[in-house]
Amino acid sequence: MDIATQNLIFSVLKVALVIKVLLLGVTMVILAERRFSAFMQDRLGPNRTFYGGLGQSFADGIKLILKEDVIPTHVDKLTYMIAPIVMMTPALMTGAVIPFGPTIPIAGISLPFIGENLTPLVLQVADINVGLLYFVAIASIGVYGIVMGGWAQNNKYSLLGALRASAQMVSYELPMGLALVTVVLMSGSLSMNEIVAHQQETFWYVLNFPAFMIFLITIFAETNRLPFDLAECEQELVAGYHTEYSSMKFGMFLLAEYGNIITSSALVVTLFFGGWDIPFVDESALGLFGVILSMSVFGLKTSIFIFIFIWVRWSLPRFRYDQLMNVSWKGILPLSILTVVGTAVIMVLLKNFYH
Amino acid sequence: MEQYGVILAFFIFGLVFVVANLTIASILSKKIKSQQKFELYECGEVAEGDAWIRFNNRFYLIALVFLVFDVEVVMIYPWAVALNEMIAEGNGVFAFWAMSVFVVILILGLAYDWIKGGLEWVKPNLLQLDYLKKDA
Repeated sequence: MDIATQNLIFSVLKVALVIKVLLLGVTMVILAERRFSAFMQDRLGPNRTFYGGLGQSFADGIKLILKEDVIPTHVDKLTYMIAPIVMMTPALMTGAVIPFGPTIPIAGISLPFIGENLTPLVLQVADINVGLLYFVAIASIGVYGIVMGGWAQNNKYSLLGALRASAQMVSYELPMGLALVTVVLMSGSLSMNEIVAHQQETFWYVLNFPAFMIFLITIFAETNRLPFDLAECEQELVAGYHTEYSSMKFGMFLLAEYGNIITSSALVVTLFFGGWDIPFVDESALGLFGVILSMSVFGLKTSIFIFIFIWVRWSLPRFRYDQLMNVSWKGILPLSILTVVGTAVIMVLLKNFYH
Repeated sequence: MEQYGVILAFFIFGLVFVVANLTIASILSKKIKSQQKFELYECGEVAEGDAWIRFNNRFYLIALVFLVFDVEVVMIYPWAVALNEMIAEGNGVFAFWAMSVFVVILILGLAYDWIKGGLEWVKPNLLQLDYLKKDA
């Protein structure tokens, strides 16, 4: 079998695997959120469906599919139908550039059905050299879904929610971009694989703590999670930008929110916590066991950040809108410019930083 | 370029999943027609007028400022990628000062907008209210 066919087979397998893991992950994160929030509020949460509530999200999914799909008469039909698709597809697509394990050195080993391997297997769906820019670009498409959905419903609450969401996401994208610049400064590359490799050689970028904190705050804002969930605050706007959606269309908004949480957590881990790197352990010496161990460690780190997302949501109250804008434009944005300049200064001063 | 083909495949997989789900839902869901169901939901009151109205122009202002700054941030990326090599070649200080000129212009722009009140979300005459004065 030639290289092209092998790459095709492996690519299709990886695409299927990542989408599967993301969707299963979403159901598990929804359940985790409901259980953790219940414990934090001294309740039990859903614990009956299939072994301690494990089947709850699937049951909810089936319920959502069977619910009546109401399309109100006043809406702009085309935009109304497209919005959930525009929302959900980018939420899945961002998973394409996250490296979830080390390269498996299987070149020269023969496998069943495939024959002798010609290339090592990279555990990343698409190993492109502008992975970071790709992630930022795709992640910001989600805002179109919110605006289209909010506008199309012809509902005042939805419109307000959509406007708030767009202004908020736009305001927090600048500090996010600048925090990412510090990562690029330290690694000298936009490729996710090289960023992870560089962290393995030197140090985890979380040591650049201001950049990490800025990035963490901005991804909370970008995923519209508390304390930044002004777009759908129940007490003011009913349900914000998805007020008029029902059935699976609403389900898509829900899935997209949690999908974004998973990919954002994975991104934080990749950029600041060394990705699949295990500190003080040489994974390549452990062979296949090392690969499995690295992948598990990556999953563990991501889970910790997903838990932080949930934890913060159920601990902090929500901002007022003018406070939200002030925090972004007058607080985090100048700070992030300072962080970039500071990182560059330190790098120039320590000339042997890289080599 | 092959890797971008994989991304296209990823996009198609995702799109098929989403569209298939929506289609299945619209086929399987039961449909019971009733007039009230198709009204807009606004806290149970009968909705008055459209929501497609002119809205606060602060949102445009924020979008405009964002556009300017975002373009400038994107300009920093190539420099950030190149800085390591520049340092290795011994041109680190030059590279730093070259970019500082650009960053200073960016900071000046931000400062100008700040002083002119472009970043104020609350209208100036509302700042007289006590509860807003405290943290403004």
